[in-house]
Amino acid sequence: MTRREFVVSSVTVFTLTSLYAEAQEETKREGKGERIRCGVIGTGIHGRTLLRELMRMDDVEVVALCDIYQPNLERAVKALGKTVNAYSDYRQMLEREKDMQAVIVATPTATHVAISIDALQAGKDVYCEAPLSNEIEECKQMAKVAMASQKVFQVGHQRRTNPLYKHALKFIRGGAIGQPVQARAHYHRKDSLRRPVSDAKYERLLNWRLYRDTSGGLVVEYGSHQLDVINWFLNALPMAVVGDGGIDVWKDGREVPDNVHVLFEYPNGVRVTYTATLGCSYEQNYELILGTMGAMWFSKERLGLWFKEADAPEFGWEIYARKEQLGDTLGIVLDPEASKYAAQLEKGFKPTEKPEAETKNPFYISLSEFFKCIREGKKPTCGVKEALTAAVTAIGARMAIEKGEKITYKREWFEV
Amino acid sequence: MKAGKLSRDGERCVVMGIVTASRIAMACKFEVVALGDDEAYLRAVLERALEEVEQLELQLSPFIADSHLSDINRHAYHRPVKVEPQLFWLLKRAVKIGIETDGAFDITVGALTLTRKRWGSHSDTSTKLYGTETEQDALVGLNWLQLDDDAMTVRFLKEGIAIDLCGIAKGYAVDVVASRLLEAGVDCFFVHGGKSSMRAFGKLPNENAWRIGVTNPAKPSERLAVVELCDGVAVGVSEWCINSVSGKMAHIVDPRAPNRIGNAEDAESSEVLRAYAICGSATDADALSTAFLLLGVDGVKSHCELYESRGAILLIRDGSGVEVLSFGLEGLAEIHRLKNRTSDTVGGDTSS
Repeated sequence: MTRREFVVSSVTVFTLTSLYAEAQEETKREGKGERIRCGVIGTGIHGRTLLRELMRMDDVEVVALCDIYQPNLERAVKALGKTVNAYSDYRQMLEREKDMQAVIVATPTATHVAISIDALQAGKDVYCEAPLSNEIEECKQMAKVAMASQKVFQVGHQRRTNPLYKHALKFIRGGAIGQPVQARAHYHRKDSLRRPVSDAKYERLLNWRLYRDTSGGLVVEYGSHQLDVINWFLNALPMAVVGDGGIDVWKDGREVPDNVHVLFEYPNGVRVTYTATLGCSYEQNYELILGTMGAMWFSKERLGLWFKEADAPEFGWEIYARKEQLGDTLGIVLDPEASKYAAQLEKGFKPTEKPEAETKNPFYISLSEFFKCIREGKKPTCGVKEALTAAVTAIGARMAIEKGEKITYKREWFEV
Repeated sequence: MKAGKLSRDGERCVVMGIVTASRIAMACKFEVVALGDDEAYLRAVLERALEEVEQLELQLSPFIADSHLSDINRHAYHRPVKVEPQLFWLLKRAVKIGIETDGAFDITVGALTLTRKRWGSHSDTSTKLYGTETEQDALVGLNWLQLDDDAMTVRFLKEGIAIDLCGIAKGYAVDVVASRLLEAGVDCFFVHGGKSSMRAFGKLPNENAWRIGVTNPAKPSERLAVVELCDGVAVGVSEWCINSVSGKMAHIVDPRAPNRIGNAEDAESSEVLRAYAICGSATDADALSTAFLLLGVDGVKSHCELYESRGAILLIRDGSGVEVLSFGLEGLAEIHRLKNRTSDTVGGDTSS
């Protein structure tokens, strides 16, 4: 392929002929299951990640895409590889796509609430990326609308639907780590987070994460996911927070800190630390919860280890459990499928076959739950209440960083 | 940004400079060196392109339990598995290369490789397969793989089949990075993944082309030749890799004779020590380099004659030394063999 062909092939028109549309229609005619017709609003890097998972689902059909930035929209259309209605205005999309049942909102955080409310009011089920908003009042407004709506509203705190975390929660609730004393979460990455902008008029649109009026900074954008886990595992809400941060690494005109650390006070003397930096990738991202009988550590949403104190009770199955070393400590691998394997072995399955194990990735699992809730009329694991507490926790931390003073959380911030 | 040259851009005189960025992904270092006049823009382009490589690893690694590939390997015998279009394209491309190399490149080697090697440090081996080595050997072959274009599904026709994309994924990732840079208007860069897959566009100021060094496999400090790459050309490199601890081959499996895996003597008796595949796609070059290592000199020569857009450089045994052979490089690259082989190469197989 010549360079010219390379460039030309990357510029896609919106009416790509589908190799697969006919097959999909045939499947429909054969009654192999009614597909949920879905649209994606926001087709940047994250939106396309979600789109990639949607395309693997047999029971979902992406019928419309929307982005106000044309190159992102074109990339998504190309990735989809089939005929799709493409919009630059989400209101037009909601109005015209009468048969579209659900929308995925993967736009900049500052637009989540407005778009989600419009979508709910247009009668669509909504999967909105986290965090809910950068502002407490907006979060509460979203909560009111979502709770009054009959439609499914799920927020993409995908750790809530991740089998690893759900598995660990059972142990924590059962007292496996004893009384919680501390928790920690990190987001460490060597990356400017900057999007390339060839025309200055798109700078604030594409680099919204870097500016104060559109971004809550690292603690809101990334911390809200991890702080949500802390709230969930501790079954508590923060009482107060102090923190600071600065633009210490990327002095490129951005307005939000690229290097922050925060300390939270939780009930019963639990101390929580959160750090985020764009200057170093060491330890990348993890959550850690420490208790009087042990600790649990979760790395990048995929690996969970349980470290036990010497005086913690022992269980018979522990000798069979897989263990991994972290530093000088040996931890039990938290495997949500362990019991399933054991049951299958008894039924005669080969140990490595795993025919019934569904270890899809966190995005797939989270989106799957959304569609399952639509089909079965159920409430999602991470609905607006959970998202509200996560966002408010993170927004409080942002306020502490911005003001340089201790912020005491008000109960009403978490209430609808 | 390092100092570059002045170039005329309309009425504006701009300072061209070099920006490099790298990420660890697919158990190796991906690195991009690019030339441009706006450091912040260039760095952002490079970072976002490399971010896609990280995402590709999560999709294509057979050693990550929840990757798309692991999902295929786990379920494709039991039912057709739907895959997204880009991955489906990659699978089709891999099959095409497999056919064109008479099976010397074959992604269904997974039944053998995934039980016997690890891609870097990933310890989550969800795709462990069962059976004896003899049983696994019977599980290699593209005839066991069914790709349905209409439904965009993958199905295995025999229990125990597994796909391993390690021989093509890095090249594909290099192509994705190149594509992102070109889309962003960056047209002078060199990108490589683990120095085994690379692609070059444009050329540096005061240089004729991007160059790679060809070193002696037995003496990495000895440079045997320098290769100048034409605009847009990709290179894939494969060589026998002997595990220094076990003494067994840890890298290349011959899908046509799968029982040979693990026999270090095969590597020692192999005619070709290292193979460079050169063509217009890093995806193809990555896969072809594996095949070229196994096809032997005559096989590679015939292949390059049949496919005019593909070239090769082979390092073969020459008594106690190494001979450099090249085929079909016209329009792709120019090779300069070095008489004085003591060089200033700094590590690695290749240098630019």
